[in-house]
Amino acid sequence: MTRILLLSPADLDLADEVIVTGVTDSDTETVHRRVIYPSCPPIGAHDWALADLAIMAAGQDAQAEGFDAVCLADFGDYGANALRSLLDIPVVTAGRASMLHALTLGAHFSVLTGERDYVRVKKLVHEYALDSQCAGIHLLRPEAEVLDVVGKAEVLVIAGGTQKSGFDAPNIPIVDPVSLAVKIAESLVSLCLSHSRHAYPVPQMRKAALIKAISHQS
Amino acid sequence: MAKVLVIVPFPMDEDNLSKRKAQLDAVRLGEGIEFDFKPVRIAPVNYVSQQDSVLADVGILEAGLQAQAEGYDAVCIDTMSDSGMSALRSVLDIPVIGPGRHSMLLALTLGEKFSILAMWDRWRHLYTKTLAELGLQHKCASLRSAGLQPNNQSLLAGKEDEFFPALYEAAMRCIEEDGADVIILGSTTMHEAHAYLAERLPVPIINPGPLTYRLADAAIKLKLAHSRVSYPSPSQIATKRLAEMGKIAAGL
Repeated sequence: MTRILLLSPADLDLADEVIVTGVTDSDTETVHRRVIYPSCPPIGAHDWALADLAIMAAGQDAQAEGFDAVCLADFGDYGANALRSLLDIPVVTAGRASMLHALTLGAHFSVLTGERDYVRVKKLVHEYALDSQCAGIHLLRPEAEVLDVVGKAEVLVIAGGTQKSGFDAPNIPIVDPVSLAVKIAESLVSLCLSHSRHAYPVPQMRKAALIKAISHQS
Repeated sequence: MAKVLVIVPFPMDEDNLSKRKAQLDAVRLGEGIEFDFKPVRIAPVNYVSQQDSVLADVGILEAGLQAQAEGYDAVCIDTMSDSGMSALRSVLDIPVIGPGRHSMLLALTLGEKFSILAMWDRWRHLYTKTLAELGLQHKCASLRSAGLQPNNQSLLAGKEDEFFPALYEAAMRCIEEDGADVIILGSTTMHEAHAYLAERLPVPIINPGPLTYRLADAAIKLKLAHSRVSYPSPSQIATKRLAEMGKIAAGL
């Protein structure tokens, strides 16, 4: 049995059944928790710092709670690196996993995003060194313009999208970041793989109580 | 029941094929998926030159060409070279998973830099090709080999005492001298060394064959196959010609 903790930002209001039935193994359990960011929507660095903290607080006990992996549904990957430093279990994030996975399906990917994530996606693409593999980051606008983007894309990644968002583009693979992240997490658990301690060293001293105290959600 | 075809890149007997099938034991798979292993008919003796790469592409294309028509839901290719992957993607709508590309991209979800650990240096070209295609050379800390002559039929059997420590030493140099966060086994034929290395290395080590089985499951369940824009269909598929080529090669 694999237990996955899925953390999603409360402002996206993802349904509890965000993962379509049948996508995961029959003995995989996904527990979905919503996390409130102190400053929302997360459109700039101030908001991102607080989102990092909120996600770190929400996930820091995941391993102790008996989860086998953590998935972060926010395409902005907030708090991901911090959680990796704190946890031995895999932490799979919607943004990083879906953009890398898109490159298994085609040579370049395009990202469709709303205004909430636009600047963050640009930052992440650069940070993950995927500038030359990313064909474009496009704001979701009226239908006609979206179709224009879709017409030129090799692989489409929908930031903030889910399998239930109903977006359709025949003949082009569309990566749903949340379902993908959960599936990759399940795969990592079944292969006994997790992140590298060389890339994500443990802190000399954990500050769990401090993190919890300053992140307390009333 | 989902069915996956695993294409083994060399002709081989049942005994040696069972050594390839043993990769299934290294991963926990969900219910409702089964894997058939099929050796190719057209192949080089090993993968050390451009001649070999062309023969490998053609042999794997021939072996997988009918996979979709035969009812398979996905294809995995049992070689880190990803030989034949692009050609098969251009003719099949079902997912075609190559361990080279997939393991490099997955490694970047586990760390910032990866090294590829090979048996011998003559495999280098297999990795530089995929790295160039992905444009991710800067994410590869190193390509290192243990300087050991591989055997693609008997794999590592009987040589564990000599080979496993040599591979461990080379992997440690990837980590300590080259800065690798993640190690990728440079060949699916090295899978027998995975457990030994995973127990001893301070960083994750990817076993590429078993990874492809899980990613095939993911691709099937998520209904996510390659892009037709990236892998356009040919104007005509040389089905008959390829089948003839397969027959001729098998008779030689």
